[in-house]
Amino acid sequence: MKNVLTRDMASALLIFCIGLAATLYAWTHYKLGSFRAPGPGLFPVVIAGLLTLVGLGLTVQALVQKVQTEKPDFEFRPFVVIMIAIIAFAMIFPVAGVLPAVLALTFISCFADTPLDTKGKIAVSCVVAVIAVVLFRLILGVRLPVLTGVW
Amino acid sequence: MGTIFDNAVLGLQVALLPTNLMFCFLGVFLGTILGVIPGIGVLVAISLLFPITFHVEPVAALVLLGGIYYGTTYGGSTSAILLNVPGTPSSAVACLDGYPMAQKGRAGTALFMTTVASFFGGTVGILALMGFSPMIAASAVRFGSAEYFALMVLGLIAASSIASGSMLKGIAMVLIGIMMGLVGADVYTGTLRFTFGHVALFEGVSIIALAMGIFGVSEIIHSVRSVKKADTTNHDISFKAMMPTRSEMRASWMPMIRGSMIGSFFGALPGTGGLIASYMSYATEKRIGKTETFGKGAIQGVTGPEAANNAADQTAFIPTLTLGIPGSPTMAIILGVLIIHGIEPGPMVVVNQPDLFWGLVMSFWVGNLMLLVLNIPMVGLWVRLLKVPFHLMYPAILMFIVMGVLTTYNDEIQVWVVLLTGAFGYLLRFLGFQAAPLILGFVLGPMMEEHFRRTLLLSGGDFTSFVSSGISQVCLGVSAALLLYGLVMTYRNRSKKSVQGPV
Repeated sequence: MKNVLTRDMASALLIFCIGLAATLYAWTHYKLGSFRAPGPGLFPVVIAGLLTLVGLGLTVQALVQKVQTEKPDFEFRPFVVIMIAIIAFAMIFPVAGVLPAVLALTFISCFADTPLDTKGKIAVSCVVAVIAVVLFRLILGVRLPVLTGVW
Repeated sequence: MGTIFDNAVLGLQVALLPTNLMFCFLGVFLGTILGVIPGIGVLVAISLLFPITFHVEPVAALVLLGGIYYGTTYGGSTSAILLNVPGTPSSAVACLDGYPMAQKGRAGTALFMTTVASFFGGTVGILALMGFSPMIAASAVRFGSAEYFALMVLGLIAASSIASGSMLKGIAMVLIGIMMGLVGADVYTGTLRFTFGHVALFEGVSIIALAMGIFGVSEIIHSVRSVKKADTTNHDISFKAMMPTRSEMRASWMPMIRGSMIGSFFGALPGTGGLIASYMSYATEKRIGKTETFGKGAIQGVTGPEAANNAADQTAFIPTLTLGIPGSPTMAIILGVLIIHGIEPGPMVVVNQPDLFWGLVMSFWVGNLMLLVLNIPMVGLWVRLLKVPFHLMYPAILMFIVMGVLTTYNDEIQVWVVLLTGAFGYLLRFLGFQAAPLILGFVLGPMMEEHFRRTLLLSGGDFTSFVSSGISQVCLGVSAALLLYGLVMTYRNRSKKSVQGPV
């Protein structure tokens, strides 16, 4: 084993850290009560404690196992692009309404990976935006502003 | 409660109402479309279409959800057979012999027999559901908090042990799911837990936003570059090509019957479901079958698992509707949806709302019938749908995810929740965790805590009360055995490469 921080080790540490942090947080912030009269903190501490133990178990497993589990590569470009697309939607919607938000969402998401040129991207965005407005506003009758101040 | 016959008549009266019929059709139709698209499983399909159910009454909403559920399962098998890409995880088995059949030019027959096997398995599952549900609901009065707690432990352990890869990873997911389920106000004291001062979290993490993020968004990120490789050659799907030969029919009967039995059993067990049922059925047929054709296009390898899969889909409703304990992640979502609709599933639903319960059961059957009549003429449409490139599809799927969450909660904060759970979900997926046990833990977590605390309160802090009855002894004993078995198997297989299935 050349690399100590393998993918399995990283996942073990992630679980261990989440477990430990949650245990300490629940322990210090919520009343534990007693077994006779359990408080709001008891169950979270038990669960988070178990999670910490599982994290330890995974660490041991990652150390002793000889062959690393093979997994797909991290899809970096789609990941970043989709995240940006959703952020754009979340920021545009409250200001401008559904139509511009969906246009932004779909247009940006097209950059994740696509053989489409700019014209194609715009076309896809427009079609999806029309579907969104027709389905949610006209068919389902959801009361959301399509274009703030206009419709 | 009357006899099964009376109940069936009552149910049919509800199921055959024109509005319910329409929603059943809509659900089956939309479910099949989404199931055919690779990368969309039942969980995503239900989350996506869930906003529609807000605009209809509870029975119709349930009928719609049921239709989406088994429609998606069916659609998943279609893409498994034609593309060798399972549209849903539980149809992974359909790839084994279905795709070789398609390569031999028997795609039409494979699809036809899948439909027949689905209907057969579904019918057997529904009969089991009709026969056992009232019995279980009646015996549910003997279930105290300790028994519910033990049953939930069993469900969660079973769910984490069938997840592929390491069992510890499955348990970690269940525990993280429980933690996420605890976010929000505590039922007993009103203490706000793990909200970190965010108002949006006071009522807890919303299940739809979580499911959409952790399954939908992370699945899109994962699939964007990989799905487009699939290509569909032209398959002969004319009606004539669909008809199985006489020997194929004869070879299919017994596998279908055995598959339905296996499926009905595993579907009803908490924590297991269609995936494990179809694998069990495949393994059984392989052992029984004398032919050497398994893996090369044996019809038994398609019909048996498909019947098992669909029977399991139906019997999975038994623990969900009678005890309020979801046996699978999909059922967890359906349960969450029911609670949002103001229906608290449990023994009382069967007793007090017979029209809802029996209407639902019979509409399952009507829905299965619709799958049969809908899909044979529509196979051509699904094949054409599979030819739409994924890069035209995923922007639309993303729009449905975001708009669905937005319209469900009418609150743009939930879009941020989707963003965060999507990123977290993709990270987990990259690290080799499976998200399905997480959802089950998420739904069961708050219920477990309630029963855990109630058991302790009632017994005055006596931990032996958790194992005082036969039911809880059996449940916890089986859980312990599963846990031990899983850990030993992980230890044994640690030098082998673990197989990573789709979420």
